[in-house]
Amino acid sequence: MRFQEKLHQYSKEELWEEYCGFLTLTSEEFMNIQKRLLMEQIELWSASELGQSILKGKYPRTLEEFREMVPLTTYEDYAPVLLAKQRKSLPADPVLWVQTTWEGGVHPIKTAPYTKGMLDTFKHNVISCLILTTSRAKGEFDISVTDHMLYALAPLPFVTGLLPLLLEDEIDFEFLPSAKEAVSMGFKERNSLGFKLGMKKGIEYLFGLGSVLYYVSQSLTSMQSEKKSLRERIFGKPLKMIIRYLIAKKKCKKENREILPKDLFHLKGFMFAGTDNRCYKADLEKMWGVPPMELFAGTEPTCIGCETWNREGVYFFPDACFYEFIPEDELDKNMADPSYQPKTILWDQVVPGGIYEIVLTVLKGGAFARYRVGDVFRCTGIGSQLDGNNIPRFQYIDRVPSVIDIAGFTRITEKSINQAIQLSRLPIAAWTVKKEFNEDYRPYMHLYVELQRSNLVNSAISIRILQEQLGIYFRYLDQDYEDLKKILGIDPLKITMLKCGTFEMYEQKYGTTIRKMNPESCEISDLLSCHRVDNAKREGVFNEWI
Amino acid sequence: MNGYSWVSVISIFCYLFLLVAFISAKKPKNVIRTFIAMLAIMILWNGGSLGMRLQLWPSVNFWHHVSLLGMFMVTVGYFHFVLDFLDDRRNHGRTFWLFFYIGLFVFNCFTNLFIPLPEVVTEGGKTQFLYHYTDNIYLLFIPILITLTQLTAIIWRHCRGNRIAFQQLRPIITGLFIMLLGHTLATLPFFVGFPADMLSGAVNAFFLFYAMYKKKLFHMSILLSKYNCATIAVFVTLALFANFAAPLELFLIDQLGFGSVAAMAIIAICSVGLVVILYLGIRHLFNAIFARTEQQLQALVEQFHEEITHMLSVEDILLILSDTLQKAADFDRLLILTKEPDGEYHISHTIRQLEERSFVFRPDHPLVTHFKTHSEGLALRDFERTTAYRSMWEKEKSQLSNLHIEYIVPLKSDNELVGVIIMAGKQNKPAAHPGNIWFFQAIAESSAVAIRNASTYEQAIQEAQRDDLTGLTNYKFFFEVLDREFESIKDSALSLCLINIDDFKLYNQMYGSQEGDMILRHIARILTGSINGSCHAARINGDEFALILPGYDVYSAKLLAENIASQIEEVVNTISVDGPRKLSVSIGICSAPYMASSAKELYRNADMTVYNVKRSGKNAVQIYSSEMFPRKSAAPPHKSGYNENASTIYALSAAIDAKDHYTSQHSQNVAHYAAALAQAADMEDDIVEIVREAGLLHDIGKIGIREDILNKPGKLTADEYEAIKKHVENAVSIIRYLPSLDYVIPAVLSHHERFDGTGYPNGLAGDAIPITGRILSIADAFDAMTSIRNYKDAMSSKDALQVLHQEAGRQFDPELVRIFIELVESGKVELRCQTPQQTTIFGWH
Repeated sequence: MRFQEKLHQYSKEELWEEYCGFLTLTSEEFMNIQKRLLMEQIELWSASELGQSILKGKYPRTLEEFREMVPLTTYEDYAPVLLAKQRKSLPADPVLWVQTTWEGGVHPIKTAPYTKGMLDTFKHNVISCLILTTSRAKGEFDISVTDHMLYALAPLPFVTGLLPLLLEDEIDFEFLPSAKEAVSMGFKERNSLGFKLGMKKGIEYLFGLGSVLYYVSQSLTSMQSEKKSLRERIFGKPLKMIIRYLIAKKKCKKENREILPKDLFHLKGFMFAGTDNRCYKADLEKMWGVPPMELFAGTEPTCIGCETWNREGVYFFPDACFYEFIPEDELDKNMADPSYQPKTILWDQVVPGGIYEIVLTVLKGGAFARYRVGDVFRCTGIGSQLDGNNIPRFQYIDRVPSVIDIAGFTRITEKSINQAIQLSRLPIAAWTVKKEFNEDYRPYMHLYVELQRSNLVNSAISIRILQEQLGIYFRYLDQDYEDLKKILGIDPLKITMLKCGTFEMYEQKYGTTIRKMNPESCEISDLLSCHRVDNAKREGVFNEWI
Repeated sequence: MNGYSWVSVISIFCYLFLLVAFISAKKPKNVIRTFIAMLAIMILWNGGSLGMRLQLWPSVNFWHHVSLLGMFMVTVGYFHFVLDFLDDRRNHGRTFWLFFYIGLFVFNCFTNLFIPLPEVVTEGGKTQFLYHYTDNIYLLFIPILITLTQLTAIIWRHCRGNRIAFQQLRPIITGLFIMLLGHTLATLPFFVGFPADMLSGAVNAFFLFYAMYKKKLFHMSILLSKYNCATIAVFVTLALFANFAAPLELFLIDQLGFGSVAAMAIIAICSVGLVVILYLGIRHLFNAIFARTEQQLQALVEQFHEEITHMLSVEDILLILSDTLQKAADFDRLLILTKEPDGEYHISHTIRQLEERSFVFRPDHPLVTHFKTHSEGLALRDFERTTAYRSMWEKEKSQLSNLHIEYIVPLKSDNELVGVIIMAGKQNKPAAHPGNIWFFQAIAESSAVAIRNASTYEQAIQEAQRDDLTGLTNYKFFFEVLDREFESIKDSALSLCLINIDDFKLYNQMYGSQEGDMILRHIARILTGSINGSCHAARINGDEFALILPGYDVYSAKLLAENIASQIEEVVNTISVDGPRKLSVSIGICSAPYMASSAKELYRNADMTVYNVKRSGKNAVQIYSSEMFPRKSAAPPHKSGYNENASTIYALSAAIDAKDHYTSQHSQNVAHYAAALAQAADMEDDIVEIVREAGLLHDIGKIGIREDILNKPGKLTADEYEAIKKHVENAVSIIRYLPSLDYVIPAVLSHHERFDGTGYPNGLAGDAIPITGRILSIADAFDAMTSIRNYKDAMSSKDALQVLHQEAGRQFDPELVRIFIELVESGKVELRCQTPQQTTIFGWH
């Protein structure tokens, strides 16, 4: 039975219990579901060629054996099978494959198989998200067959393109534009058409990457600010929208501000996903008048959790993946020594305030086991009086420090930066990079570079040249990086040039080299203090400022 | 009452009937509450109209306004009802409309603007109410139309693109049109005096009722309550007496001569009597119409309960349970799963002969977990909507869906889930529906208790008759069966095979009792798989099985026994991952009536035959013959096992000596030290002798190890070390064939075990290592250390004792080490000189 039919067959209480009942599970009940489904997955995965390529002849039978025998994995462990789409080597037959960028510039894509069981669970959990995004209290939600959804996410083969298909399976929502049309459209064209249709039909749901939604909402605001005659504005629009427009115009004139999306649309549900959402959350709420609900989803893990009406943190679904967590201290040990196998804890062992890298085993015949997807979360609390439960909730922090993700678009690693530097042939002697936020709380990639002393005489190098040259090669290597500029108009690269010898001085002073990817802020200030030391005074040599 | 009063009477009766039924509903949903409010509004409308027509106290105008209140509120009532029916909790102006219509009514009360007061006209004794409507009445239609337009828009939004929602709302929409039609007709001159509006209201109420019924918002059984029967009885009585009380009173006074008080009393008594008679009659009628099936089902429940009360066979109970269920519904599939001792639920009964029996619920199956806390059955589609369902495995889900399971009923007794009934109806005809779910539940409750009792009984019987390990008939019950079968052979034959496993104790010592138990279970499976239903397999001793074979003559019993012997050999050979094992059986057969005239004799003869097989080299099948056992046989005098086999031992020692130059002298030295240690530890003389003999034989297994490994000058590789370790088992395999020396096996088998449990072959620790083995271990080590090998010099005895001291508690028994050190240091034991050929590494073999 489709969700749409259930809407008329069952009461709200019954539907809430079916889709959002997981919120009131006890820890024990939640773990029972997790452990039981893991046993199924262990059986399927261990028997598959893919599983055996990692297990090397071992067959775990219990959770403990599974955690002991299966090492923590990364996509490289699966690449030979998954990139070649070897169906027969998988734990279960996939219904479709989705893809995403693997590592900017180094590996173009990574693919992940989706089984029927995974899709069913995905669908169920997406409906849960839909219910929760419209809810204002426990058991209260407002979904109607005639609602419209503006959907600012990439179409298939990206996992985001699955969501409209899954929803269409369950309810006759109208997507603006329809999923079929959207596949053949560019990003800007899609959003523009979406808003045009929204102006005619109304928008009840909005869903997308936080950064994209922010950009799209701003475009809408600026569209409204464009000089057009009243006739142009109201032509072809339904009466409801004309009335709303006129009221909004009057109100905004009175308040001396431009028309915001909230003046024209009354959203029932507002969902966003991706990295750096917290940078855009407040602005989005201001523009739409509704606080967006965060959900966690990804190519490998599917949809694994979402917030409730309280927006206090994300709750994980019990049946999408089996969750393990690497505590922060273990993560540090692993970063200091990559050969160190960090210890993990289970979902019911997390503590409030703890920061963890998540480790996932995709259930229902999924390919990934004890997989480091590269996301870091904070446990914001266990149990909520408002939500009436006693289970942990989380907040997404960012990617793991070895990856820089700007606004959910890029996945820049040490390898990709080295590659860009190599291609640009810039005489960079040393560098370190950190994801930072500007005064508007927008993310950017801050590259601290030191040039080769020997090349300074023969080359004309300024910060601008560096920025342009590196930017060109980042865009050349990484389509997503280019999209940042093309779609959102963001140039995420900022360069600080350090004087020659700064990195060497840092090493001498602190007895260690600075980490290349995302060093701690204090390490960056130590580096800058080395940069500021007057070499002439210190060593009696020429001060080599560039 | 004028001609059209019956419309009001019937309408009020219907409303009251529904009102009483729904008021008695437990935990009513919002939509039920609104429906009750709608009924109350209708009663006001019709009641007012009736009061007016009957010109009841206080006045026609009063009842006119009561009727108008109902009429004004019906639109807003409808509005609320539809919103609740759609489960739409948004306000949509509910409160506004409520107060608006109340306000409108109050306004009309004072102004009579929309609906004027009726003119009462009496013509020929008939009273009529004439409403002189003006066009103002159409003003009233404006807000009604606005409300209904808004309602239509809401309905449109809900139904657009949703066929199911539209179907659910269709009766409501139809009712709405009928009501609108009724209201319109009431204003036309042609219908003056006819309450078309009220009639349409009543019809509409039934459409609403039907819509709720279709949406399963209540069960029809709600209508059959005793309150409803009482309401009908009272109402009918009132209606009758309203018309006939006066004529009856006249008749009683005038014709029968009663006084007026007496006449009134009689009428009162009659009316009460009539209410009671009507009440009973109506209940009987309802039961006859609606509850006939229920009664039949009730009778089935009672009959079922009676039948199973004294049953002690689970199979029989399930059969009756299945038959009873099939009398109540048509099943495409009916599976009854019962709990097995391991906690799993297996199919114990099905109505399909060829049903796939691999359907199993594990103890952690979400359905089992659900039923641990819930006692009511549930439809699979409802279970699919629970959180528990989220932990279902994909294969479990497809199993249920492939079987087209529709409804599942737990069999629970004292909170224990003893089984589950799984049912699927025929195509388009569900097996479980609201009318028979209670029946399934009642049957399940009765049968759960019966199944539990019967299964406890069967388990007790099973425990009394069955062997725990193998599940075969046990020793005690074996004789009962043998006697029974012997009594019933008559013209046929009865053979008895006794199957004794050769050297099973030794097998257990070598490979552990766990593997021994596994062998016993395998043999049991071979036996049960080799016999037909009329034969019996039993385990009558630790290492002995019996087959009672009715109808088998000597020849067929022998063929069967040979076949079994070869199967056992084959299975044992392939059972272990460590490599092939050797195990044989000695089988003795005796058959009646050829060779025995009683069950006792049959057994004794078979037993003697087994004994004979053992004596004559084991591993054979023999048939009893009286010549085998002369009546007076002189028992041979007992000889020392060692002396008996001394020549063999020396021959073997010589062979080892030829292979390993260090071992022969070493064995004698070990025997010497071990015997001395045993003596110093105050052991009995015969133990000392065993230890000495074990010392001589402990390395006999090296005869099976490659010479190049035995004499390798350097350090052994892991594989070579593994090969060397095999010498312990090899030694035992050789000694097995010297039955009179098998008492040394425990010592030989355990002389490489370590006190801390890390030795081999069995990893025994502490006191679990036989004391003879612990002694041998110290003696073996001491001699090895103080000997010269081709890659190391001999250690001094002092250093060797130091090593023993260091290893006490880890490799060696600390107490025995202490005694041995004292023994050597005091010079009580003669230290054997070491020849250059004799030494081994510290990890001595």
